[in-house]
Amino acid sequence: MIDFLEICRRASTGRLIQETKFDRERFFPKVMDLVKKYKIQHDLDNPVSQDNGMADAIYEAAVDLMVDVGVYCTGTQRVIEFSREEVLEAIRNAPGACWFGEGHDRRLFKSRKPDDASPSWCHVGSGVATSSEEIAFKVVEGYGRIQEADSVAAPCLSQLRGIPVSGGSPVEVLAAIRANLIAREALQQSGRPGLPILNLSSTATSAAGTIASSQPAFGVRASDGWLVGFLAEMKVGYEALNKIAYLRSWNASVCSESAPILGGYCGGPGGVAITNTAYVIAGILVMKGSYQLAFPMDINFSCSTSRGVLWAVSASSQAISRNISYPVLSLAYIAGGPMTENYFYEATAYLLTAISSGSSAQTPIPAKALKVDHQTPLEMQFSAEVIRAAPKVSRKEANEIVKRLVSKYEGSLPNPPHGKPYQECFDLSTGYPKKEYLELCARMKREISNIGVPFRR
Amino acid sequence: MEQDDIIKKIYEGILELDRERTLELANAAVSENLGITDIIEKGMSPAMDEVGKRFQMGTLYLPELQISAEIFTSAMQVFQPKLLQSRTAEKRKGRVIIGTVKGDLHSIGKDLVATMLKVGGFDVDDLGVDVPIFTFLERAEKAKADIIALSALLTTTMPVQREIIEALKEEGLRKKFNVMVGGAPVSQKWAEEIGADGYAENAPGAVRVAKGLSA
Repeated sequence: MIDFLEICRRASTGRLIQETKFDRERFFPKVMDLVKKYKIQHDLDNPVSQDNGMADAIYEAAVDLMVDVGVYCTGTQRVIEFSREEVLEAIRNAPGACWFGEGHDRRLFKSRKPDDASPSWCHVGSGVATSSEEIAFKVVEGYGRIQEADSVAAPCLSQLRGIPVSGGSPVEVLAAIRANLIAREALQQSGRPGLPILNLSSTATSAAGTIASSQPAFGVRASDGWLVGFLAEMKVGYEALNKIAYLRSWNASVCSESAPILGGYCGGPGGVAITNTAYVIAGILVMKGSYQLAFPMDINFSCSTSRGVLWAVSASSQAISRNISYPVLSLAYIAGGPMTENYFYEATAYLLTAISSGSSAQTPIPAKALKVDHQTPLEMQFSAEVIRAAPKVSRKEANEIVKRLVSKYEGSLPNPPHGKPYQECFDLSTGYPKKEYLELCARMKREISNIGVPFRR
Repeated sequence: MEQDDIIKKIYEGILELDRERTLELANAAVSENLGITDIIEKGMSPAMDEVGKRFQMGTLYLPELQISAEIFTSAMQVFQPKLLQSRTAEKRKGRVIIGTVKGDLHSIGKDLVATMLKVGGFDVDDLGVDVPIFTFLERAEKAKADIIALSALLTTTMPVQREIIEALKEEGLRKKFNVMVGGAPVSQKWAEEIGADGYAENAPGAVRVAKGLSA
């Protein structure tokens, strides 16, 4: 398989093309052609696809997309191109599993299949911004207490001693270090010191911030995972490549992160499904990733729970899991915030869609990840329980449940309830949920259980 | 060609993203001395309304929205001399300098707002992504802009929106330009806190706010 230095060579010698031309004349028309060529037909009335033949066609289309379009490097304005043989070889050699965590919490994150009864990896938490170090600590400590968790995502700090954290600044470097230290201390306090953190370094957007904060002295371990993101669509910047150059040099696990946008340059649900699948191939080839974090979004609602996105997640999860041995975490940006009924309906719909289709999952992020402090361990606990229940649900059963859930929230997607921040949902002194939120959670769990989700407890 | 025929064909040309055909028709309308205002009001504007509807319904996508906006702008340029002659030139709503702030490489939300502003009658200079603070000021001055529109998708790049407003104050330029802010983590509260003149949660909202600021 071609190595990372070869990727760097191609990024600096590939075909020169203006970015807008890549978007509009190279990428978009090819995706539209592939949707037609492979007859990819979405079905918004049935968000969870049960068509294996179409899943395989989406995979074939994704291979074509990689070969015909490649990946655009914004740092050099050149296209990193691959032959079909190189693409297929990378898929053949994809890492099917990856070890994370230490001691009692050391686990193997494996790829899954559609209608697979084996457990989904349960990644708990989010990188949502917190207003203070105290809230960040309490949130991660709460995540560590979720017994279903295989790994956690740590929040990012929005300020350090009152100074706003700006991307690329020295304050960002300091805040990234501080956030990593807080997350590790909080996990220690929760009694799960071996749990891996899989979204390092959450506060760092720059390569400098990631590299500076990734020292054992700052609480990070080789058994954690680092996020490195593509840019929509099928583009990668030098900041991302710089992170990979550093991380792969000491064998750290890279999570290739991708968020194809429904209604954007990959078009409709069929195009999103093809692009989401192609991103996994790009993650293996370009980022030398160990696992993928995939979160397709809807351009009109800025969330992941519209019918079009759900269908694309289902179809692409099946395309990936049937044809590529690579661990994938599906992540949803939920429109509803903490302490809203919407969160529970949307999160359940998304998790059943992704997990029955062969993906693993992260607990969905409330309030579209837009509101500071709008995340709590209680909705994440609920989602972790859905993640544990979902492998017992087939695609066919999931489709019927998801249809009922979508009908409960889709009318509110244009103006969703943002919910309440951590400070209003939890008791700040004890770090436990308030009665009002516990009661809502229990009521929603009963209702969703009655719809057919087989919770363990 | 008859006036009604041109109106229908220009409407179709925009919806079918047929740049060449639409500009041929626009040139024919000028050379045959047809009613340009009528063509704009009954053909081109309804076509752009339909494009906007289809985008929101999810049957038409961002690149097609961008291309249709470009065809619209090109056709308007063909009509411009004729409109000026008849003194009925459409009054442009104003000039907007737009970009994603320094440290932030996200472009799609900003692209969408830029396109919708063009469709809404604004002249738009898109500076791209990762734009340094003083580039916004320099380009706004040079273009005699009315509005500076700042996009940020990350909580760590939002503070740059505040810094640009501070730079405008430092340079004595704050009163010269209206400043709009947007992007996923940005809110009305943040806009007020940093002293921005306008905020919108989505692209159609950004056009409404921009029109309000330039009224």
